[in-house]
Amino acid sequence: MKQDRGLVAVAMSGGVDSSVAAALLMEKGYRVIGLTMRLRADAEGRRASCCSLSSEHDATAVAVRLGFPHYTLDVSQEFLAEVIQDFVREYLLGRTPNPCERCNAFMKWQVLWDKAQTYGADYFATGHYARVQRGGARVQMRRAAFRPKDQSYALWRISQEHLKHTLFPLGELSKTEVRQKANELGLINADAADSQEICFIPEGDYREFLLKQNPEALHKIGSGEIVGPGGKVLGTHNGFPYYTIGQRKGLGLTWPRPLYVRQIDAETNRIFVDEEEGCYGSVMRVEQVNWVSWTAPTEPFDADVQIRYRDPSAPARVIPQNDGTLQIEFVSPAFAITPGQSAVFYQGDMLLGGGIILSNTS
Amino acid sequence: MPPKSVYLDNAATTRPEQEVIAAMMDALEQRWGNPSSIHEAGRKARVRVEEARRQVTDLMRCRPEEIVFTSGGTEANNLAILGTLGRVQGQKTHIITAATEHRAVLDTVKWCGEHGFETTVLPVGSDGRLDPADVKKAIRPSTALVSVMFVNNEIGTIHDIAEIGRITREAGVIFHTDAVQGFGMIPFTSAELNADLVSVSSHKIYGPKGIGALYVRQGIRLEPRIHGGHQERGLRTGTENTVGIVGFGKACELCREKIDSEPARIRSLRDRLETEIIESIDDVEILGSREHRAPGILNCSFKGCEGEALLVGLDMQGIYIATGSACESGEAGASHVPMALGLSRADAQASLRFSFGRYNTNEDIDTVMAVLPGIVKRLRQMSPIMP
Repeated sequence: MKQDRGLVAVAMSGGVDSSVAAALLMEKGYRVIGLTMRLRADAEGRRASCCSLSSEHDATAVAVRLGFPHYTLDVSQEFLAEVIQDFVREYLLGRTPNPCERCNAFMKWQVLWDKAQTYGADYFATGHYARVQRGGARVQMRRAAFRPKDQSYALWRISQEHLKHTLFPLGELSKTEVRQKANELGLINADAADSQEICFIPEGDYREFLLKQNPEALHKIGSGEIVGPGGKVLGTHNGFPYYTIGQRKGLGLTWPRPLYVRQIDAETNRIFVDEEEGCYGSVMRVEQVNWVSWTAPTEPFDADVQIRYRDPSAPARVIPQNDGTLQIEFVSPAFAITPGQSAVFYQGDMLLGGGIILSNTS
Repeated sequence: MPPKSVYLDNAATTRPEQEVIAAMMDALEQRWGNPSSIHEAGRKARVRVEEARRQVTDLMRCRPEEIVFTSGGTEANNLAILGTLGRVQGQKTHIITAATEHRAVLDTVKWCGEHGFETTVLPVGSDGRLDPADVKKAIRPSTALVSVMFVNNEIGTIHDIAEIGRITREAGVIFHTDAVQGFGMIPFTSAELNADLVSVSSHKIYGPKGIGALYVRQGIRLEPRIHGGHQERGLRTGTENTVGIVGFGKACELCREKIDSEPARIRSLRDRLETEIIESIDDVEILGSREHRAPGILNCSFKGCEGEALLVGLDMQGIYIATGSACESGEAGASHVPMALGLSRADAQASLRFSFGRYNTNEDIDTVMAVLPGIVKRLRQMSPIMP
């Protein structure tokens, strides 16, 4: 009989990562329960007929195969309020939200973990590729050992209290190793493709989704000017929420060199475009700051700052402000700093903290 | 899973009897012919289907031609309601049902309401019972159908079906009862219920899933919902589910053998659990009438707990129970049945259903009582409602 290391609730999407995470925890001697979020339901509370149901069933199948309890929780109301409505609201403010980050903070580490505690869970685990390090005064978070899959960028909002109970069983593994493990265990989803799109927009077209969610607001916003280098009006667009900073495709402009969206002005419904060199910025302001591995610093410090999911981080000076925001000054200008996206600060592998980009000016 | 599990969710479904399984295996191997075929293989299957029909009628005490096999209770309910409305003439556009019906009836009635029919959903008392006088008052000249369940699946309340049937018959209104829960546990004859249409299901009485029946009293005409053949007198066409029908028949036969002794035994188990829960846990409310209640069902609200968390806590100890009905579990919010009894949303969400069956023993209750008080205590300590 293995030693009982406590009860851990594993957030299971039905995918290979969280399935293997659950299996590894069992092998280590934890008692495991699987929890899957049902994120969408129609107005009458019936199950949505979209793909989420099959992932629910995949998670159940894995749990039955490995022999631990599994529950699907209807969190569609919370998901609507915390993630979907926020997603739409942010775009309508001219910002580009990161729904995965919000889902982690406000769904998994809030709604699911709260539930898990009522089930008697001591720990909360997910299939994220990231590492938790205990032992010091604070629990620290580190990037995954297998850097190409590192997902710590979307986990910066987790509080210390939550991190104390958090386990990331995949933190030391590569994707290949995870798939191998899934195959050894005979899991049905071992070779499933990685999820890429925003889960609630399976077709991948967020513009269509926005229009469906709030047609009145988009209609009211209407078309506006596209302003080019030097202030010249180059054309019209059909509403700023349909654009994101750094976007090149779909602008429909004629110009000798490629143009990118540099700035979105929601107030005047104008899109500013520029050639690549014009889209670099050195300064940004960050709000909603949360400190993970560090306690809140008061003095400026140097860190590597990551400003989007698939980007490498870049060296910068982080300067705490009196109002709780941070001013970030990049050593070399960064391309397409996008308000609404997360800015996450690292030193080496250590995730110090993060926040939401408020503006790409000082 | 712990070595021994305790199954107290017999209102959701029951484990098929070995004899049922054996009869079904035999049907698969020996009676695979199409019952409508003229040759010997067909005849052999036909004989078994009709034997099974007899086994069903022996339990329901009706005539073989009054039984229509369906895919289960839900289809039987749909056929009863939609089939009746499909036959009625112009002015008969009104349906009456009760607030605590199973979704298979409530949702069907709701659909009718969205497709040109008038509907009345009668409230029930705080004891979960429908007052037959309310049915009488609700009947209009345009009323085509009254549908009231025999035994409530979540709280076990027995409705006064015979009296409601007397009222509807007097008024010349067709009366349907969803008897899926009481069937096999509470002895009744179709005639005693004064019902024109009675839905029953196999998997609640230790038979297989996917098979049930609608009793259609002689003289009642229904419009079929499925077209394409002549089977079941044209009311439920498609090649008969011989294996399911045979299993259902055997399950009915076994129920009939046990119906004089089994309900009393199950009642005593249920009553023992109820007593022990009340004695050892504070702030528990028993839902529904205790007098007019099916022997195997106990529904209690554990104030200040979340039923879902209780269910999970018990599941992790190998004890299988339900919050509300299996058909509602997983849906947001509280079940409509405790809400219809006037419980607050919090108390409704705090309710658990224990449903007993043929295989339960006194030991099962010991197992439940060894862990339930502790789980309730733990959840109440975490609850924002109860200090």
